[in-house]
Amino acid sequence: MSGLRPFALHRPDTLDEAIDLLEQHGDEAMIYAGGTELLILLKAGLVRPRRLVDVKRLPRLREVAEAGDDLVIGATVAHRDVERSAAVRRRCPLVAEVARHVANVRVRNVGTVGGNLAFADPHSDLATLFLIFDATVELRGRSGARALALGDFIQGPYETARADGQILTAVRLHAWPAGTAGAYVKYGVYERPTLGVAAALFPAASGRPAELRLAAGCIGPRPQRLGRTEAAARGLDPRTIGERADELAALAAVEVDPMSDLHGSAEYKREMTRVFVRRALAVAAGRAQGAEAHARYAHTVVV
Amino acid sequence: MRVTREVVVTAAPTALWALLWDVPRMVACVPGCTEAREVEAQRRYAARMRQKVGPIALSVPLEVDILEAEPPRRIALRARGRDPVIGAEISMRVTLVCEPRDGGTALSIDADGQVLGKLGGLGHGVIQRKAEEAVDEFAARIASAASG
Repeated sequence: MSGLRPFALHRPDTLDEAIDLLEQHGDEAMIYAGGTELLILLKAGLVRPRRLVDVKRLPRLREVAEAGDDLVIGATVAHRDVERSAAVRRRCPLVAEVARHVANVRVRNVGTVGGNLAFADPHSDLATLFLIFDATVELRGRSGARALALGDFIQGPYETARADGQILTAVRLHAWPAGTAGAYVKYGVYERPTLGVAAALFPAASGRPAELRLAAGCIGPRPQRLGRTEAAARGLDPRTIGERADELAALAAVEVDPMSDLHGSAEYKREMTRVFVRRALAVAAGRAQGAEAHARYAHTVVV
Repeated sequence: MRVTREVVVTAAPTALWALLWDVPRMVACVPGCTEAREVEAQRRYAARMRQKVGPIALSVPLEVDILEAEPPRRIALRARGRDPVIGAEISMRVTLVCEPRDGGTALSIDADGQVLGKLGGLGHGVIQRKAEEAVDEFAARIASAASG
Protein backbone atom coordinates (compact mmCIF):
# COMPACT_ATOMS: atom_id res chain seq x y z
CA MET A 1 0.00 0.00 0.00
CA SER A 2 1.34 3.43 -0.79
CA GLY A 3 0.17 6.99 -1.11
CA LEU A 4 -1.33 9.22 1.49
CA ARG A 5 -4.84 9.03 2.80
CA PRO A 6 -6.78 12.28 2.87
CA PHE A 7 -6.46 14.51 5.90
CA ALA A 8 -7.34 18.07 6.84
CA LEU A 9 -4.41 20.41 7.31
CA HIS A 10 -4.79 23.06 10.00
CA ARG A 11 -2.33 25.94 10.00
CA PRO A 12 -2.86 27.90 13.20
CA ASP A 13 -1.09 31.23 13.71
CA THR A 14 -0.93 31.13 17.49
CA LEU A 15 0.09 28.55 20.05
CA ASP A 16 -3.27 28.78 21.83
CA GLU A 17 -5.09 28.09 18.59
CA ALA A 18 -2.88 25.03 17.96
CA ILE A 19 -3.48 23.70 21.48
CA ASP A 20 -7.23 24.19 21.05
CA LEU A 21 -7.16 22.19 17.82
CA LEU A 22 -5.30 19.34 19.48
CA GLU A 23 -7.65 19.34 22.44
CA GLN A 24 -10.69 19.48 20.21
CA HIS A 25 -9.68 16.65 17.88
CA GLY A 26 -7.86 14.35 20.31
CA ASP A 27 -6.71 11.10 18.70
CA GLU A 28 -7.73 12.29 15.24
CA ALA A 29 -5.04 14.95 15.12
CA MET A 30 -1.26 14.80 14.95
CA ILE A 31 1.29 17.57 15.16
CA TYR A 32 3.11 18.33 11.94
CA ALA A 33 6.43 20.19 12.12
CA GLY A 34 9.13 19.27 9.58
CA GLY A 35 7.30 16.09 8.67
CA THR A 36 10.44 14.03 8.07
CA GLU A 37 9.44 11.32 10.54
CA LEU A 38 5.66 11.76 10.26
CA LEU A 39 5.62 11.36 6.48
CA ILE A 40 7.39 7.99 6.75
CA LEU A 41 4.67 6.74 9.09
CA LEU A 42 1.88 8.26 6.98
CA LYS A 43 3.16 6.73 3.76
CA ALA A 44 3.58 3.34 5.40
CA GLY A 45 0.00 3.59 6.66
CA LEU A 46 1.15 3.07 10.24
CA VAL A 47 -0.66 6.19 11.41
CA ARG A 48 -3.89 7.54 9.94
CA PRO A 49 -4.63 10.95 11.39
CA ARG A 50 -7.67 12.72 10.01
CA ARG A 51 -6.08 16.05 10.83
CA LEU A 52 -2.60 17.47 10.90
CA VAL A 53 -1.87 20.57 12.96
CA ASP A 54 1.00 22.39 11.30
CA VAL A 55 3.01 24.19 14.00
CA LYS A 56 5.53 25.83 11.65
CA ARG A 57 3.70 29.16 11.64
CA LEU A 58 3.79 29.57 15.39
CA PRO A 59 6.12 32.53 15.79
CA ARG A 60 8.13 31.88 18.96
CA LEU A 61 8.77 28.24 18.09
CA ARG A 62 10.97 29.27 15.19
CA GLU A 63 13.40 31.29 17.30
CA VAL A 64 16.73 30.64 18.94
CA ALA A 65 17.18 32.80 22.03
CA GLU A 66 19.86 33.36 24.62
CA ALA A 67 18.58 33.57 28.17
CA GLY A 68 21.26 34.14 30.78
CA ASP A 69 23.59 31.14 30.55
CA ASP A 70 21.01 29.19 28.60
CA LEU A 71 20.36 28.67 24.95
CA VAL A 72 16.70 28.19 24.08
CA ILE A 73 16.07 26.49 20.74
CA GLY A 74 12.49 26.73 19.50
CA ALA A 75 10.83 23.46 18.56
CA THR A 76 10.43 24.22 14.86
CA VAL A 77 13.98 25.43 14.30
CA ALA A 78 15.37 23.23 11.50
CA HIS A 79 18.70 21.44 11.91
CA ARG A 80 20.17 23.62 9.16
CA ASP A 81 19.19 26.75 11.10
CA VAL A 82 20.78 25.35 14.25
CA GLU A 83 23.97 24.82 12.28
CA ARG A 84 23.96 28.43 11.03
CA SER A 85 22.67 30.20 14.11
CA ALA A 86 25.11 32.72 15.53
CA ALA A 87 23.63 32.24 19.00
CA VAL A 88 24.13 28.46 18.86
CA ARG A 89 27.70 28.89 17.61
CA ARG A 90 28.42 31.33 20.42
CA ARG A 91 26.77 29.43 23.27
CA CYS A 92 26.95 25.77 22.26
CA PRO A 93 29.30 25.43 19.28
CA LEU A 94 29.32 21.62 19.51
CA VAL A 95 25.55 21.63 18.91
CA ALA A 96 25.97 23.65 15.71
CA GLU A 97 28.64 21.23 14.52
CA VAL A 98 26.55 18.15 15.25
CA ALA A 99 23.55 19.74 13.48
CA ARG A 100 25.69 19.74 10.33
CA HIS A 101 25.87 15.93 10.51
CA VAL A 102 22.28 15.00 11.37
CA ALA A 103 20.78 12.57 8.82
CA ASN A 104 21.04 13.97 5.27
CA VAL A 105 20.75 17.38 3.67
CA ARG A 106 17.02 17.02 2.87
CA VAL A 107 16.23 16.13 6.46
CA ARG A 108 18.44 18.92 7.81
CA ASN A 109 16.65 21.53 5.71
CA VAL A 110 13.16 20.71 6.95
CA GLY A 111 13.53 18.41 9.98
CA THR A 112 13.14 20.26 13.26
CA VAL A 113 14.77 20.00 16.66
CA GLY A 114 11.41 19.66 18.43
CA GLY A 115 10.19 17.06 15.98
CA ASN A 116 13.33 15.02 16.49
CA LEU A 117 12.94 15.03 20.27
CA ALA A 118 9.16 14.52 20.30
CA PHE A 119 9.30 11.59 17.87
CA ALA A 120 11.83 9.95 20.23
CA ASP A 121 13.35 7.65 17.65
CA PRO A 122 15.98 5.81 19.66
CA HIS A 123 18.53 6.59 16.93
CA SER A 124 18.64 10.37 17.52
CA ASP A 125 21.86 12.37 17.64
CA LEU A 126 20.34 15.39 19.34
CA ALA A 127 18.75 13.56 22.26
CA THR A 128 22.11 12.04 23.22
CA LEU A 129 24.03 15.26 22.72
CA PHE A 130 21.54 17.44 24.60
CA LEU A 131 21.81 15.22 27.69
CA ILE A 132 25.30 16.55 28.38
CA PHE A 133 23.89 20.09 28.23
CA ASP A 134 21.45 19.17 31.03
CA ALA A 135 18.66 19.97 28.60
CA THR A 136 15.08 20.60 29.61
CA VAL A 137 12.14 20.56 27.24
CA GLU A 138 9.29 23.02 27.50
CA LEU A 139 5.75 21.79 26.96
CA ARG A 140 2.60 23.87 26.59
CA GLY A 141 -0.95 22.67 26.93
CA ARG A 142 -4.29 24.09 27.92
CA SER A 143 -3.36 23.71 31.57
CA GLY A 144 -0.24 25.82 31.12
CA ALA A 145 3.48 25.39 30.60
CA ARG A 146 5.80 22.90 32.19
CA ALA A 147 9.48 22.12 31.90
CA LEU A 148 10.87 18.62 32.09
CA ALA A 149 14.42 17.27 32.08
CA LEU A 150 15.10 15.71 28.68
CA GLY A 151 16.07 12.45 30.38
CA ASP A 152 12.60 12.27 31.95
CA PHE A 153 10.83 13.42 28.80
CA ILE A 154 12.10 10.55 26.65
CA GLN A 155 10.59 7.42 28.16
CA GLY A 156 11.40 4.80 25.57
CA PRO A 157 11.42 4.14 21.85
CA TYR A 158 8.97 6.61 20.24
CA GLU A 159 7.51 7.35 23.68
CA THR A 160 7.68 10.58 25.62
CA ALA A 161 6.02 12.26 28.57
CA ARG A 162 4.17 14.63 26.23
CA ALA A 163 0.47 14.32 26.85
CA ASP A 164 -2.13 14.55 24.10
CA GLY A 165 -2.96 18.19 23.63
CA GLN A 166 0.53 19.33 24.61
CA ILE A 167 3.05 20.87 22.25
CA LEU A 168 6.79 20.75 22.75
CA THR A 169 7.68 24.42 22.33
CA ALA A 170 11.42 24.59 22.98
CA VAL A 171 14.48 22.87 24.35
CA ARG A 172 16.67 24.72 26.81
CA LEU A 173 20.40 23.94 26.95
CA HIS A 174 22.70 25.06 29.73
CA ALA A 175 25.79 26.45 28.03
CA TRP A 176 29.11 25.14 29.30
CA PRO A 177 31.56 27.32 31.22
CA ALA A 178 34.62 28.63 29.40
CA GLY A 179 37.36 26.05 29.06
CA THR A 180 35.02 23.08 28.68
CA ALA A 181 36.02 20.65 25.93
CA GLY A 182 33.39 18.49 24.26
CA ALA A 183 33.14 15.84 21.59
CA TYR A 184 30.42 13.89 19.85
CA VAL A 185 31.29 10.69 18.05
CA LYS A 186 28.78 8.69 16.07
CA TYR A 187 29.17 5.45 14.29
CA GLY A 188 26.96 3.54 11.88
CA VAL A 189 26.65 2.04 8.44
CA TYR A 190 22.95 2.85 8.02
CA GLU A 191 21.36 6.26 7.63
CA ARG A 192 20.51 6.43 11.31
CA PRO A 193 23.43 6.06 13.69
CA THR A 194 24.14 2.76 15.43
CA LEU A 195 25.80 4.52 18.34
CA GLY A 196 26.36 8.10 19.50
CA VAL A 197 28.64 9.13 22.34
CA ALA A 198 28.71 12.66 23.76
CA ALA A 199 31.41 13.73 26.20
CA ALA A 200 32.36 16.99 27.89
CA LEU A 201 35.21 17.79 30.26
CA PHE A 202 34.44 20.65 32.62
CA PRO A 203 37.48 22.35 34.13
CA ALA A 204 37.82 22.63 37.90
CA ALA A 205 36.39 25.94 39.15
CA SER A 206 36.40 27.64 42.53
CA GLY A 207 35.26 25.00 45.00
CA ARG A 208 34.19 22.57 42.27
CA PRO A 209 36.27 19.67 41.01
CA ALA A 210 36.74 18.93 37.34
CA GLU A 211 33.82 17.02 35.93
CA LEU A 212 33.13 14.58 33.10
CA ARG A 213 29.75 14.48 31.43
CA LEU A 214 29.09 11.44 29.32
CA ALA A 215 26.06 10.18 27.43
CA ALA A 216 25.47 7.27 25.07
CA GLY A 217 22.55 6.91 22.71
CA CYS A 218 21.03 4.96 19.82
CA ILE A 219 22.00 1.62 21.38
CA GLY A 220 19.16 1.23 23.87
CA PRO A 221 15.54 2.19 24.37
CA ARG A 222 16.56 5.77 25.13
CA PRO A 223 19.75 7.80 25.44
CA GLN A 224 21.33 7.76 28.86
CA ARG A 225 23.79 9.77 30.94
CA LEU A 226 26.46 7.45 32.29
CA GLY A 227 26.47 8.59 35.90
CA ARG A 228 28.72 5.88 37.33
CA THR A 229 31.41 6.49 34.73
CA GLU A 230 31.07 10.24 35.33
CA ALA A 231 31.51 9.67 39.08
CA ALA A 232 34.66 7.60 38.48
CA ALA A 233 36.13 10.50 36.52
CA ARG A 234 35.22 13.24 38.98
CA GLY A 235 38.15 15.49 39.80
CA LEU A 236 40.40 14.04 37.09
CA ASP A 237 42.18 16.51 34.84
CA PRO A 238 41.97 16.05 31.04
CA ARG A 239 45.42 14.48 30.82
CA THR A 240 44.47 11.80 33.36
CA ILE A 241 41.14 11.19 31.62
CA GLY A 242 43.03 10.68 28.36
CA GLU A 243 45.37 8.23 30.08
CA ARG A 244 42.55 6.36 31.78
CA ALA A 245 40.20 6.39 28.79
CA ASP A 246 40.40 2.58 28.46
CA GLU A 247 39.34 1.99 32.03
CA LEU A 248 36.53 4.60 31.91
CA ALA A 249 35.28 3.20 28.61
CA ALA A 250 35.11 -0.30 30.11
CA LEU A 251 32.97 1.12 32.93
CA ALA A 252 30.69 2.84 30.41
CA ALA A 253 30.25 -0.43 28.50
CA VAL A 254 28.98 -2.07 31.68
CA GLU A 255 26.68 0.84 32.46
CA VAL A 256 24.78 1.08 29.16
CA ASP A 257 21.50 -0.73 28.54
CA PRO A 258 21.77 -1.89 24.92
CA MET A 259 19.07 -3.73 23.00
CA SER A 260 19.40 -5.88 19.91
CA ASP A 261 17.95 -4.61 16.66
CA LEU A 262 18.83 -4.45 12.97
CA HIS A 263 21.93 -2.40 13.86
CA GLY A 264 23.39 -5.27 15.86
CA SER A 265 23.13 -7.40 18.94
CA ALA A 266 23.16 -5.98 22.45
CA GLU A 267 26.60 -7.56 23.02
CA TYR A 268 27.97 -5.90 19.89
CA LYS A 269 26.63 -2.53 20.97
CA ARG A 270 28.15 -2.89 24.41
CA GLU A 271 31.52 -3.60 22.83
CA MET A 272 31.15 -0.65 20.42
CA THR A 273 30.27 1.56 23.39
CA ARG A 274 33.61 0.64 24.94
CA VAL A 275 35.46 1.43 21.71
CA PHE A 276 33.71 4.72 20.97
CA VAL A 277 33.62 6.06 24.53
CA ARG A 278 37.38 5.56 24.60
CA ARG A 279 37.70 7.48 21.34
CA ALA A 280 35.34 10.27 22.42
CA LEU A 281 37.24 10.69 25.68
CA ALA A 282 40.54 10.82 23.80
CA VAL A 283 39.17 13.52 21.47
CA ALA A 284 37.71 15.63 24.30
CA ALA A 285 40.83 15.23 26.48
CA GLY A 286 43.01 16.20 23.52
CA ARG A 287 40.91 19.32 22.88
CA ALA A 288 41.06 20.29 26.54
CA GLN A 289 44.83 20.27 26.20
CA GLY A 290 44.78 22.27 22.98
CA ALA A 291 45.23 19.40 20.52
CA GLU A 292 42.63 18.88 17.80
CA ALA A 293 41.85 15.28 16.93
CA HIS A 294 42.79 14.08 13.50
CA ALA A 295 41.99 10.42 13.98
CA ARG A 296 39.58 9.00 11.42
CA TYR A 297 37.59 5.84 11.84
CA ALA A 298 35.54 3.94 9.30
CA HIS A 299 31.79 4.81 9.19
CA THR A 300 32.35 7.32 11.98
CA VAL A 301 31.71 11.04 12.33
CA VAL A 302 33.85 12.84 14.92
CA VAL A 303 32.47 16.25 15.87
CA MET B 1 10.57 -12.64 20.93
CA ARG B 2 10.27 -14.60 24.09
CA VAL B 3 9.47 -13.40 27.59
CA THR B 4 9.49 -15.58 30.70
CA ARG B 5 8.47 -14.46 34.17
CA GLU B 6 7.44 -15.98 37.47
CA VAL B 7 5.04 -14.48 39.97
CA VAL B 8 4.00 -15.84 43.37
CA VAL B 9 0.39 -15.27 44.43
CA THR B 10 -1.28 -16.00 47.76
CA ALA B 11 -4.21 -17.91 46.19
CA ALA B 12 -4.05 -21.72 46.16
CA PRO B 13 -3.50 -23.43 42.77
CA THR B 14 -7.18 -24.36 42.42
CA ALA B 15 -8.27 -20.75 43.06
CA LEU B 16 -5.71 -19.42 40.58
CA TRP B 17 -6.83 -22.06 38.09
CA ALA B 18 -10.42 -20.83 38.38
CA LEU B 19 -9.28 -17.25 37.81
CA LEU B 20 -7.41 -18.23 34.63
CA TRP B 21 -10.68 -19.50 33.13
CA ASP B 22 -12.78 -16.56 34.28
CA VAL B 23 -13.05 -14.54 31.06
CA PRO B 24 -14.09 -11.11 32.41
CA ARG B 25 -11.45 -11.23 35.15
CA MET B 26 -8.78 -12.30 32.67
CA VAL B 27 -9.70 -9.43 30.34
CA ALA B 28 -8.91 -7.11 33.23
CA CYS B 29 -5.55 -8.86 33.80
CA VAL B 30 -4.25 -8.85 30.22
CA PRO B 31 -2.88 -5.41 29.34
CA GLY B 32 -4.47 -4.01 26.21
CA CYS B 33 -7.19 -6.68 26.11
CA THR B 34 -10.45 -4.80 25.67
CA GLU B 35 -12.89 -7.63 25.12
CA ALA B 36 -12.97 -11.42 25.05
CA ARG B 37 -15.60 -14.09 24.72
CA GLU B 38 -15.81 -17.82 24.89
CA VAL B 39 -16.34 -19.53 21.53
CA GLU B 40 -16.07 -23.10 22.83
CA ALA B 41 -15.57 -23.64 26.57
CA GLN B 42 -11.93 -24.34 27.48
CA ARG B 43 -11.03 -24.73 23.82
CA ARG B 44 -11.51 -21.54 21.79
CA TYR B 45 -11.86 -17.88 22.66
CA ALA B 46 -11.99 -14.63 20.70
CA ALA B 47 -10.39 -11.49 22.06
CA ARG B 48 -9.28 -8.03 21.01
CA MET B 49 -5.92 -6.59 21.93
CA ARG B 50 -5.02 -2.93 21.71
CA GLN B 51 -1.45 -1.69 22.06
CA LYS B 52 0.36 1.54 21.36
CA VAL B 53 3.95 1.93 20.26
CA GLY B 54 4.55 5.68 20.38
CA PRO B 55 2.21 7.22 17.80
CA ILE B 56 1.27 3.85 16.29
CA ALA B 57 -1.91 2.29 17.62
CA LEU B 58 -2.63 -1.37 17.07
CA SER B 59 -5.96 -3.16 17.42
CA VAL B 60 -5.84 -6.88 16.76
CA PRO B 61 -8.74 -9.36 16.83
CA LEU B 62 -7.22 -12.54 18.27
CA GLU B 63 -8.26 -16.15 17.93
CA VAL B 64 -7.19 -18.00 21.03
CA ASP B 65 -6.86 -21.78 20.90
CA ILE B 66 -6.21 -23.77 24.03
CA LEU B 67 -3.61 -26.36 23.05
CA GLU B 68 -3.26 -28.11 26.38
CA ALA B 69 -5.08 -27.83 29.70
CA GLU B 70 -3.95 -29.95 32.61
CA PRO B 71 -5.89 -28.82 35.70
CA PRO B 72 -4.88 -27.23 37.97
CA ARG B 73 -1.32 -27.08 36.74
CA ARG B 74 -0.71 -26.13 33.16
CA ILE B 75 -2.29 -24.29 30.21
CA ALA B 76 -0.75 -23.85 26.79
CA LEU B 77 -2.47 -21.59 24.30
CA ARG B 78 -1.91 -20.07 20.93
CA ALA B 79 -3.22 -16.64 19.97
CA ARG B 80 -3.19 -15.32 16.42
CA GLY B 81 -4.54 -12.28 14.68
CA ARG B 82 -4.02 -9.52 12.19
CA ASP B 83 -4.58 -5.78 12.43
CA PRO B 84 -6.33 -5.06 9.12
CA VAL B 85 -5.58 -1.33 9.25
CA ILE B 86 -1.79 -1.40 9.53
CA GLY B 87 -1.33 -4.95 8.32
CA ALA B 88 0.47 -6.27 11.38
CA GLU B 89 0.25 -9.96 12.13
CA ILE B 90 0.68 -11.23 15.63
CA SER B 91 1.07 -14.78 16.76
CA MET B 92 2.07 -16.03 20.16
CA ARG B 93 2.21 -19.16 22.20
CA VAL B 94 1.75 -18.77 25.92
CA THR B 95 2.35 -21.43 28.54
CA LEU B 96 1.20 -20.88 32.12
CA VAL B 97 2.31 -23.29 34.85
CA CYS B 98 0.94 -23.19 38.42
CA GLU B 99 2.97 -24.84 41.20
CA PRO B 100 2.05 -24.81 44.90
CA ARG B 101 4.50 -22.70 46.89
CA ASP B 102 4.47 -21.58 50.53
CA GLY B 103 0.71 -21.94 50.84
CA GLY B 104 0.15 -19.97 47.65
CA THR B 105 1.00 -20.58 44.01
CA ALA B 106 3.97 -19.81 41.80
CA LEU B 107 2.75 -18.95 38.32
CA SER B 108 5.34 -19.19 35.60
CA ILE B 109 4.62 -17.42 32.35
CA ASP B 110 6.35 -18.25 29.09
CA ALA B 111 5.25 -16.12 26.14
CA ASP B 112 6.84 -16.68 22.77
CA GLY B 113 5.58 -14.50 19.95
CA GLN B 114 6.12 -12.98 16.57
CA VAL B 115 5.11 -9.70 14.99
CA LEU B 116 5.09 -9.61 11.21
CA GLY B 117 4.45 -6.79 8.77
CA LYS B 118 5.46 -3.16 8.68
CA LEU B 119 5.36 -2.86 12.43
CA GLY B 120 8.32 -5.24 12.48
CA GLY B 121 10.31 -2.43 10.85
CA LEU B 122 10.32 -0.58 14.16
CA GLY B 123 12.88 -3.14 15.23
CA HIS B 124 13.00 -6.27 17.28
CA GLY B 125 14.23 -4.39 20.35
CA VAL B 126 11.23 -2.09 20.46
CA ILE B 127 8.79 -4.98 20.18
CA GLN B 128 10.67 -7.13 22.68
CA ARG B 129 10.50 -4.26 25.15
CA LYS B 130 6.76 -3.85 24.61
CA ALA B 131 6.26 -7.58 25.12
CA GLU B 132 8.25 -7.52 28.35
CA GLU B 133 6.25 -4.57 29.64
CA ALA B 134 3.01 -6.36 28.80
CA VAL B 135 4.04 -9.61 30.52
CA ASP B 136 5.27 -7.72 33.59
CA GLU B 137 1.98 -5.87 33.81
CA PHE B 138 0.04 -9.13 33.35
CA ALA B 139 2.04 -10.74 36.18
CA ALA B 140 1.38 -7.76 38.45
CA ARG B 141 -2.37 -7.74 37.72
CA ILE B 142 -2.68 -11.52 38.19
CA ALA B 143 -0.84 -11.25 41.50
CA SER B 144 -3.23 -8.58 42.64
CA ALA B 145 -6.35 -10.37 41.36
CA ALA B 146 -5.32 -13.70 42.92
CA SER B 147 -4.20 -12.27 46.23
CA GLY B 148 -7.29 -10.28 47.09
